Amino acid sequence: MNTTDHGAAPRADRKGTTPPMGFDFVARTLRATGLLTIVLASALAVYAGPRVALALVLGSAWSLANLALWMALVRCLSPRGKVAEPVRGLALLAVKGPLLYAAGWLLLASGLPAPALLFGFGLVFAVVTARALGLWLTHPEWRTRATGRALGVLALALALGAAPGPVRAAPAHASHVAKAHVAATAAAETAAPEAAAKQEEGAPELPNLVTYLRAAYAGKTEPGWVKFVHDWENVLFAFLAAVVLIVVFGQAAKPKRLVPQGMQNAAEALFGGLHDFFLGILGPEGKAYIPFIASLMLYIVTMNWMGMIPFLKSPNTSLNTTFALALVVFVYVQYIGITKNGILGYLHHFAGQPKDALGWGAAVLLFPLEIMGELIKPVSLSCRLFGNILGEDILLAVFVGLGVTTLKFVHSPIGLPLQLPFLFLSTLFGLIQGLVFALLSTVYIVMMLPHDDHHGDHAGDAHATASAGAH
Amino acid sequence: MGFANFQTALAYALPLGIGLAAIGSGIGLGLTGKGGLEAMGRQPEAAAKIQTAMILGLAFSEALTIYAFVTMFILSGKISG
Repeated sequence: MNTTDHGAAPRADRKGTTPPMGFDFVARTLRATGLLTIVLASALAVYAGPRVALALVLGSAWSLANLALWMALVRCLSPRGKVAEPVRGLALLAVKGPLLYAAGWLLLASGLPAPALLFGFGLVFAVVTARALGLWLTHPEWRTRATGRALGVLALALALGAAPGPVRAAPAHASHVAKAHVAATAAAETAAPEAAAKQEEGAPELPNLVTYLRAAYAGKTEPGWVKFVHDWENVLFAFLAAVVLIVVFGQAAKPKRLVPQGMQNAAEALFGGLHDFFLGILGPEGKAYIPFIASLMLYIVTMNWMGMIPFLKSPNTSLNTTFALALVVFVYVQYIGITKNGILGYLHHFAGQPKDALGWGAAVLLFPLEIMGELIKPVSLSCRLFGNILGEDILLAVFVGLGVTTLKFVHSPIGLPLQLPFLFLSTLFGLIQGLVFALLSTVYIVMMLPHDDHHGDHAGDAHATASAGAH
Repeated sequence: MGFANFQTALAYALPLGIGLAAIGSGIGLGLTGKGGLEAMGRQPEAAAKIQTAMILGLAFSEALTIYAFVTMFILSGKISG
């Protein structure tokens, strides 16, 4: 009872101060965007030159005019407490619409730096998204399905639009881009040598934050920290994944409600599913290993998915990261083997668990084989994850490059989102590869456990005879 | 001249190797999936266990192509170099 009272009181309080959705929201967005434009333009005028600042202001102004027109149109058609004026609205649409789009076309064709123009166009959308996100976070009654879905769609659109943009400096037309947009933004200007360097390595790769950082210093001497960030980029992105996981699950675990809600609910459902799945393989005495395996899987899946987020990179595209993960599993499995079986039992396990004279004779042959088999496990584990994630990210990069090349002839700073179908594929693959890594780790642990190992051997024998019979 | 021949051979061999690995791996994946689905159809109550074993089998078959892929990446730098 107490908790429900506690939860209900602030909600009722907040309802009174809810900002009304509609014209108020749009008007405030217009004001905020205008202010932001002035601030950004003055900064750009100093750092990037007056042309870029002018392009930003014009782009933003066009966008604001567009939004204001739409607002006037909606007001004409469905006013609050007034009579609708459909004729006036249609007149607005007929006169202002073509004029506005002609103006937009003229802006694009005027030769002003296109990235700044498009940034200006997009500014108002960024402000709307940020405001909606803020409202969504601070006002629970805004968290309806529709707003959540709208935010999701916006986020997807942003992700799709932002990913191809950077790659226009892709190897095939790097020099072309460099020639065409000498006065363009710093990132585009300097990404060309970076892309050329990428070409030597052979594999196309989506640029990430570190790539931009280095591009900003191309031609100049890099400061020490930029070099450090570049050298350690995989480690830093892996840390980022860990921090994200810790923060998200820490937040989810904080409320400790008996009846879970929201994040706690989602986290509990996720962990419950993982718990049941891995417990089914480990057997009832394997409960102690589930936190390790579940965290391993969540960590790997998070790192896999980072490759699809613009400006981030999946640390698993480096063999170092995946081998480190496999090494952790390897050491842990050996530790379990020694502590659960004793050192003699551990060696006995590697000798193929001989019971009679014949078995001990075979042990001489089996021992090196078992050792080899154990040592090859981390290699295969790490190579599988590395190859899959690298292949997936290269696939994305290739299709992003293709999308950019198709729009090259109109000098569009963003490409066609041709990678869209492969984003779904990557989501699935990232999940499956994380699952496979965790599943194989589980199986290795099960094989080391004293009781289950015997059981597994037995089942393996039965399986072998069965398949021999089938042949 | 000898070096150029090596590079030409490598440029032909790497994609070909991936293709061959993919053929074998594809057959293996198909057989694994077929076996798993048949077993699940015959015994739907054991579907969860079969599925786990099937995913493991799929992972092992698929890993072979991935090894070829990794090898290609290790060697692909030498084509132009």
